[in-house]
Amino acid sequence: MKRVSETEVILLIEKYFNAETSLSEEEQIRDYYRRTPDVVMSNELKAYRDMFALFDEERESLNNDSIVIDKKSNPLIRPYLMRWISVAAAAVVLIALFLSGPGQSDSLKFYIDGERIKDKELALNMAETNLEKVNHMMKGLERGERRLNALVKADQSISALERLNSKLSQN
Amino acid sequence: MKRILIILFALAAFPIAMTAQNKEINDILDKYEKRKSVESVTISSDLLAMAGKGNDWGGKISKIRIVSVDSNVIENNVPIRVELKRDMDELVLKFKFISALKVKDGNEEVEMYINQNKSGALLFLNSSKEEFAVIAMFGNIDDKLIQTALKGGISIK
Repeated sequence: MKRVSETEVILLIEKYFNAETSLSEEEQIRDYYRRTPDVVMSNELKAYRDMFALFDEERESLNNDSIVIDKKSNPLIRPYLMRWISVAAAAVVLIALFLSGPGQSDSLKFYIDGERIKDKELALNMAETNLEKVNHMMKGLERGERRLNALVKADQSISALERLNSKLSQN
Repeated sequence: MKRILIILFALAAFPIAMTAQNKEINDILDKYEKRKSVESVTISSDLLAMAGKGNDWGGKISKIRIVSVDSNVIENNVPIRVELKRDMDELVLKFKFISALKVKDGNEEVEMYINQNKSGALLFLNSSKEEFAVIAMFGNIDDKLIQTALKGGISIK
């Protein structure tokens, strides 16, 4: 870059405050401040040193940020991370679905004609009515079984009497 | 990390695989649950725990589902009760339920099917002139519970 004299820098700074400088001219100003020691600099120019140094720091930090962005968009790192994030997310969803699967939250569901009825008493009555029909049939079966057992016992008793009678007749 | 995720996945899927039969029963009953002229009730865990306290079947039944269909309800020229009976007959064959008994009293008939298992099911198909009902009980189906059912001892009130 072309090195500027003190006079030229003063003119450039004036242009800068009038927003008339080009990018290369602004770079010339910064370059002047970077290369020129304080001892040879006039007081007038020293007053603007901090301002152009600050701009220089800002530019450097912006450059660093862009380096970080580049790292983030590294083609090797991103898909690897995304794959594991998606696997972990799928596992969480699966476990959540299993834990809160259908029927696990409602202890009572009652539908009549396609409409959900929130009447616990009515629901339990309906269930009990149907269970009672089955229970009634089962109890009927048990009664039948008891009668059958009673008949078997009666038959055994009659057979014993008949055998006794037969022995007595022989005598 | 990969292994841990695979193990977690397998643990979550395993109980589902074990109760495929119960899932299919639930799927069939879900199909009819919200239809017109059908009554359906599902009672599970908490309420059953209260009802079963002190009873022979207490703690064994985790869910009871009952679906009842009127005989005169027809959809697509097929009585819904016929459709439901057919679905249940196919399920009983598919999962090799044991046919425990068939009781007839007048115009009422009850069929009882058993799948004896810790995650098993008891099925009652109750048929009368007026309606057809399916009663499905899910849970730990053991000898004691079957005996209680045969004696007509399962009640929730």
